[in-house]
Amino acid sequence: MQDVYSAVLPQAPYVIGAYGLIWVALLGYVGLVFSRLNRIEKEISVVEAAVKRREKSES
Amino acid sequence: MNRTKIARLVLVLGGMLTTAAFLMTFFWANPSLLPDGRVDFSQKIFYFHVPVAEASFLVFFFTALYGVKFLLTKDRRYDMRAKIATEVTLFFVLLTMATGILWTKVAWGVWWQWEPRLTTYFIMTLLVIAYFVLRNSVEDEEKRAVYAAAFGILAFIDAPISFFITRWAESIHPVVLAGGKSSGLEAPMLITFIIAQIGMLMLGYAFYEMRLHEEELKERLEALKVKVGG
Repeated sequence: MQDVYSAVLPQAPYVIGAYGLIWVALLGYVGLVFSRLNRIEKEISVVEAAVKRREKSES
Repeated sequence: MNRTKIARLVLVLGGMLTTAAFLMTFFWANPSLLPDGRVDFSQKIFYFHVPVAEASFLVFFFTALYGVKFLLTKDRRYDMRAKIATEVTLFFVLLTMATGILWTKVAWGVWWQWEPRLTTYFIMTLLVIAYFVLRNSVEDEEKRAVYAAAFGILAFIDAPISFFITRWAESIHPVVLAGGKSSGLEAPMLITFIIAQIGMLMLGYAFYEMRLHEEELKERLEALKVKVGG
């Protein structure tokens, strides 16, 4: 067991760092894209409403 | 079911598979042993480093494919697809470099080594970054698309070179997917790796489709704004 700990412990920060980086990057990317999608979708619904109002007032 | 819904489903499935592979990496896959019999804990990085690298090669292929399609048709949609594929490639390339550097430090005792695999992959990283530098430096839309397509096709040539270089040249980098009955991996290790690989490719596809959907929505928004303005 002593051997296992002596081999694992010095390497652990690098392994944790690698996996931490991967998860943060994956979740961050998904979160970023979804937040941008939500913002654009909201903006589209606002502009679409404006287009409809404009068409109504013209007709 | 439309493309966006499929992409979201693939994203969830990819997330589930990568999570499962992550748990299997630490709780199921046998630890790798060094020649002196000690546990090689750093080998655990392999289960995600390699899938991320393979994903970068595969997604980069679509940069070249859409580049060819654009040059043949001059259809701007292919230029957009090539750009998004390169964006996703950049994401995977940076993750590959970062996880690779961490593994190199443990396995080789240095942060970087100018050996064939690392050097060719570093060149690929620079080429992917250069793709965006090129795009941002050309103002004319049509010229930008043509240059980017041609550059993307040429840049992709480095991907197979980087993948196969460990088989062609003397390299200290491990040869991954070397062939044989189980690629030299025991069943739990191989299954964990395959699940991580499939999960990562699914995430790559989902990222690409989500970004494409975003760009399409942006175009729709611009068209609506013109309508309101006009």
